[in-house]
Amino acid sequence: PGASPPFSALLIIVMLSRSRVLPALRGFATRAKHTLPDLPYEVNALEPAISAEIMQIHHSKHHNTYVTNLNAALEKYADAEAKGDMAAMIALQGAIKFNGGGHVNHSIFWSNLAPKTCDGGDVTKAPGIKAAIEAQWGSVDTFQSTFSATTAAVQGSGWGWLGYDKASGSLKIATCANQDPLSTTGLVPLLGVDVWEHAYYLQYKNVRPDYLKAIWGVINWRNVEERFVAAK
Amino acid sequence: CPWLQHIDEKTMRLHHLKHHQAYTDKLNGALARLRANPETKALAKRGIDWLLEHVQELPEAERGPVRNAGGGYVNHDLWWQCLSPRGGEAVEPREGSPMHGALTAAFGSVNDFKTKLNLASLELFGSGWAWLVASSTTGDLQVEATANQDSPLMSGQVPLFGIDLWEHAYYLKHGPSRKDYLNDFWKVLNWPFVERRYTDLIDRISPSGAAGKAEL
Repeated sequence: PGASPPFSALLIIVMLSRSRVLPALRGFATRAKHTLPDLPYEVNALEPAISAEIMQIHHSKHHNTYVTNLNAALEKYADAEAKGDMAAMIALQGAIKFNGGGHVNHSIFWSNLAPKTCDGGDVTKAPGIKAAIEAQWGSVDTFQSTFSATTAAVQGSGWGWLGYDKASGSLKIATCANQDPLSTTGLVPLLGVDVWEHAYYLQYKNVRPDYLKAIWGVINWRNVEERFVAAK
Repeated sequence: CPWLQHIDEKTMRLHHLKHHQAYTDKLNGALARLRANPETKALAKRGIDWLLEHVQELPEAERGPVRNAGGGYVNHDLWWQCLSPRGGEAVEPREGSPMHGALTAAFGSVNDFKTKLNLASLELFGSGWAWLVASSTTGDLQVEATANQDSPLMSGQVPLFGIDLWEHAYYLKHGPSRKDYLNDFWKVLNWPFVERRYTDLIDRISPSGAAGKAEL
């Protein structure tokens, strides 16, 4: 630190970067790939609320596909941008929203869950968010029923969210369609619940409300509180 | 039961007795609410196809329920008729039939049509349906995809057949692979039913047309 590289080395680097020899290197930083995060627990850790089979497929297939397709879309976008191809850039925005949203949403989701052995489901471990929920909904039970009912009513594929509204300094329940990230509503995501059928169908079949009831037992309230504190 | 190789029994039971039943119940609820209100009573008698074509004329509070539950009701009603254990005997539209001719004229070939419909199915994000539709005024064919339970009837198109792309339609047997499900779907599509649907439409549009006498 503090020692500057020899002038000749700097000259070589400048010449190389302006030549056609290393265009890939110059582009490398903008094309850093997104990666599938590891689950913070074993695939069977959330049973019986969420089966190992679902966790395995949901993480290694669905989330993985979003990551792969996001990287592909971003690569194409970078190429289009380099060529100044505005039409292609705009055409790719849907794929970036779907797959980028899918990656963001699922990354939050895995961290929002925890096995009972790590206090999953125990809201007393998160006194700050507990107090804020009680102030707004009267009780944690009332909040959970309202969240579950609102989320169960999502038509087709989507997510239910507890979000933080910076403008009013309050918590809000919201839903989003498909993989639209909560950021599209202006709220900061604290807790998300996936209600695409792939999130529950193998275990709960058509009975989405049963899934929504069971998932409260594995919510990582500490993580929700961390996000709440960061958002404020 | 050879057709269960393609779509499994558990999916058929759940899909029909739970999902389709739920849409039926919710639609009946919406219609009861429309009947109970003197201002909307007449609308409730128009029939669900008409309601889906004119969903904007409903009170705002009922548009969502009619669109979702009503769409779900008609889409699945058509769905069961599109599937057949004997679909395996007619995996293609019959050569020389009006349907075959129209598909070739619109898409180049039946295979090109299938490629286009498969692509639309794979590109649809989230829940929805992919369709072969015909214009209600000209009979012109198109491939279309709709979100959730939206019906082509909402935009003046007549669905000839659809593919249910909600995950509940394929997840138990095919998991995340919509592609594998589509392969199996083509083996149980009831082409004779679709052909009749097409000729019925053409006869309605131009009764003296060359489509020939429609079978019941």
